Amino acid sequence: MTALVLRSLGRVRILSASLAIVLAGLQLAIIASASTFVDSGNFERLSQVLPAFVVQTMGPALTSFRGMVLFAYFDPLIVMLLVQFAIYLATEPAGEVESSLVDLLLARPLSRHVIVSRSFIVMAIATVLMSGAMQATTWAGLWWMAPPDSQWPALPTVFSLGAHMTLIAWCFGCAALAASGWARRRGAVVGAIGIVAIAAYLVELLESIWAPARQLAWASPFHYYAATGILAGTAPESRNLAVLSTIALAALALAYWRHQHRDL
Amino acid sequence: MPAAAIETRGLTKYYGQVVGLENLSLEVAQGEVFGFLGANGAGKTTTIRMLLDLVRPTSGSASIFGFDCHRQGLEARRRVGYLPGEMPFYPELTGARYLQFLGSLVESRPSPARMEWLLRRFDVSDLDLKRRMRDYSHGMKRKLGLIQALMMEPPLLILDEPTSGLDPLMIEAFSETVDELARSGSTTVFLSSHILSEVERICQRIGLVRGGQLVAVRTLSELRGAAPRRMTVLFSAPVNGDLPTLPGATIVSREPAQWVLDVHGPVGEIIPRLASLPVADVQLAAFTLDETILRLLGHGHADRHVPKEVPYQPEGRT
Repeated sequence: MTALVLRSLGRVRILSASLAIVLAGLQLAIIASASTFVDSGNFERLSQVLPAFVVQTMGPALTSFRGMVLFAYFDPLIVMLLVQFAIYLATEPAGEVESSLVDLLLARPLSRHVIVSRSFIVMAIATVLMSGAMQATTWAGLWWMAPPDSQWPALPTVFSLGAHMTLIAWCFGCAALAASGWARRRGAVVGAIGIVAIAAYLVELLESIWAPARQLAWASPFHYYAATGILAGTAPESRNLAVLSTIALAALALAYWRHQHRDL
Repeated sequence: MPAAAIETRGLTKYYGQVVGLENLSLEVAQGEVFGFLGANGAGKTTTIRMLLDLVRPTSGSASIFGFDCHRQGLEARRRVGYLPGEMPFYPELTGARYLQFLGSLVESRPSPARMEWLLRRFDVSDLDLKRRMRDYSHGMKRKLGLIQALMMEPPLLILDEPTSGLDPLMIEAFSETVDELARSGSTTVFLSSHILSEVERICQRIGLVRGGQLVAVRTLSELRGAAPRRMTVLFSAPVNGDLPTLPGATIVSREPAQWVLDVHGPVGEIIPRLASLPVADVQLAAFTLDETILRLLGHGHADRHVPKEVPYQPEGRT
C-alpha cells in the first residue's frame, strides 16, 4: 500500500506543487489587497456603495478585513479548482484500467480494495495539503502584511472554512472514485463528475432566486458550505461538516463495492 | 496427488451478447509447459484474465494450485508471475525504478543474484536501467516485462504472447529460459500465443482455442500422429470411371492424370487398390504441425453469440 501511495503521489507531485504555489500566491495577493483597503479606509466606503443585497449575501466577506482575507476559501473558482483536482486524483483507477496498469498491479497478491484505498488516501493527502498550504499562507501573510490595527480572522473560522472546502472536494473526489468503477476511460469520469460538480454549484447559487433550484439544493454538497454564515458565526458548522462527511463516506463505500464487483 | 497448477471447470465468459470464452475445462499439471494457441480474439487473454481474477466468469470456476482464482485470489496470485500481452509502464520511471516498484508490491524481494542473472540473460545493461521507460523501444519493454514476471521465481508463469516484439536473439534467450524452467520441474508455464513455431519450440502440450471454445488439447506427438499425409497419385494414362474404395483416404482433387488424397492411417492398404490402374508415380508428403493446427483452428467459423437460452449476466458472479 505504501509503495502504491508513494508512486501515485510521485506522479502528481509537480501538479500538486504548482497548484499549492498558485493558491498560496493568490492568498498572499488577497491579503495584500485587503491591507491596502484598510490603509486607505476603503472598507467603509465599500459598504456604503455596495447594493444592500450584495452586502447581505456576502456578509463581512467584502466589507471587513478579516472577511476579505478569507475570500479565497469560498471563491467559486478556487473551490472548483480544488474540487476538479480531487476529481482528477480520484479517477486514477479508471486511468489504470485504460492503460492496463491495473493488470500488472492486480496480477500480484493485492486486493482490489487496496486500489480504492490508495486513490482515496492520495486524494485526501493532496487536498489537505492544498488546504493546508492556503491556511499556512493565510497566517504567514497576515503576520507579514496585515496593518497593525486590523482585526484578524479567528483561528477556528479559518480552520472551519478549510475543513468545509476540503470536505466538498472529498465529496466529489469520492463520487469520481465510485464512478471510476464503471468506467474504462479516465477522461470520461473526469468530465462527467466535473460537470456534475459545476451543476451542483449552480443549483446552490440559484437556490435563492429560482424555485426549482430550491427544491434540488439540498442534494448539492455546496448547500452545506455556508461560508458567509461561518464568517458571521451563524452557520450550523458541525451539522454541515457531518453531512459532507457522510456524503463522502457513502460515495467511498459505493466505490469499494463497485470496484470489488467489476470486470477490469 | 498434487493439485493441478491450473484447473478450469466449465469456465465461461460472455461480454454482453458476445462469447468471450465458453465452457473451458482444462488441467495443466505442475511442471508442465502448456501452450494456449488461437487466433486474435479467440479467448486466450480472457482465459488468462479470469485466472488472475481481473475478469469474473459468467459461470464455471478456475483454480491455481488448488486455490480458487476468485475466492482465494490472493493465495492463487501469490504463486503467479504474469506477463501481459500489452506491457503497461510508467513513462516517467527508469527501468530500475520500475522493477524496484513492482518488486515492492509483494511480501518478499527478488534476490540480487536472480536479478543479475535475468538482466544478463535478457541483455539489459545498467545504462538501459537508468533510462526512462518513455524512451524504451517495444522490445525493451517486453524484456523488462519478462524480467518482472520471472524475478520472484514464481511456481506458475502466465505469459500472454511472450515473444511479441522480441528480436530472434531474445526469443532464443526466452526459449532457453523456459527450457531450463521445464527441466527443473519447479515451474509451470502457461503461455498464450498465435505463433505456431514458438509453441512448437517450447511447449509440451497445446490447447487450441477457437471462437471462445477449446477445440483440442494434445501433446505435440499426438498432434503429429494425428496429422494426415497427402498422397499424390500420377497416372501414365488418363483414368476415368469409378474410384476404387481407398480405406482411410479422402479425395482432395481428382483429374484424369492425377489424384490428390489425404490419407489417415497406413498407406499399405491403399497401394494394392491402385495396382489395377496405370500408376506412374506416388508422392507422399507429411503435413507440418503448422498445417495440422491450422486445419484444426480453421475449421468453420465459430458462432460468437450467446445462445438464446442462456441468460445474460452482465457482470458475472460475485
